[in-house]
Amino acid sequence: MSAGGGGGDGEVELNITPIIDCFTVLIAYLLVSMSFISLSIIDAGVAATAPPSDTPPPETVPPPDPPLTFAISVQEGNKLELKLTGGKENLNLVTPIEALADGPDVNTLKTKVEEIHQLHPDLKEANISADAAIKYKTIMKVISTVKAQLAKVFLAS
Amino acid sequence: MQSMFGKKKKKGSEEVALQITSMADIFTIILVFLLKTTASGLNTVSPNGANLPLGKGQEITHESMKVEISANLVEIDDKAALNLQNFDLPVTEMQANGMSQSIYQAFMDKRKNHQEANSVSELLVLADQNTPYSTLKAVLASAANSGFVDLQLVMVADE
Repeated sequence: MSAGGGGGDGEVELNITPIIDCFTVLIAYLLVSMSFISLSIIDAGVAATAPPSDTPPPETVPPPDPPLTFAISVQEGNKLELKLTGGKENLNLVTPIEALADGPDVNTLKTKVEEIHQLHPDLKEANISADAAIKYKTIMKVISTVKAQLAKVFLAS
Repeated sequence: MQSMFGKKKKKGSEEVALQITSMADIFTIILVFLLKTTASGLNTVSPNGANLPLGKGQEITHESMKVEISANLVEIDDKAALNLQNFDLPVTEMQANGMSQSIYQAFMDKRKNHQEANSVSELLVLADQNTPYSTLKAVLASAANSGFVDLQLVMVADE
């Protein structure tokens, strides 16, 4: 990159000013057009067991206060089903949320989770499961929404 | 630009050239760096071309073991664990408990070979946004069975 010298008596300077001009324009263009990708994470756990199913458990004596559990199921067509079970009132609330054209209705989900969290401040975690064909980006939308309210999210494995 | 790098005139009659050779060198290095970064920026995030989902989350504070799921490969710490066919696991892979034998084995090998892997349960999950839950579930079940239960789901930060 160094400028060359002449062989004769007088030294000949290579004119690199236009190159510098080109470089400056190129660098400015690259800096402006570059997209700096930054990654972020959401903490989640793996649920030890599958979320509660519709089939009734075998006839056994239930414990006095079954733990309050909150399960969200992402179903075919991006429909959501929230299931709140157990607790002191021995709840068994099921709330379906219809899908929107472009995916799950996360705004309604956010509202419902906020309502549930206000009614049950002790509730700190949710179990999320999905149908086999549901895509990861849909699940991530649901997890992001739920994580805004609840401390822990578990994925059913 | 000419005025910035051009030739300065002394008060006298002689012209003195401003030495811009070193600046040209610096510019060349910056240019090469920027061209390289622009070309390989996405590949650094996911070498197998996995399109991570967009979202908002926390910053990654520390490095941990990572599993990457793309359309045709599951990688654990940049080492191929299982080939997929358009996100589908081979039928012979699936175990009764929902995990994949090869992926489970790869996780267990990591635990055996790396001392630090024995003490951690955290796992960075870089999955393509189109990964079906059935595939994700099999990978997570394999991870959970080998002790990696604290997942860190990686997304591209949505600015």
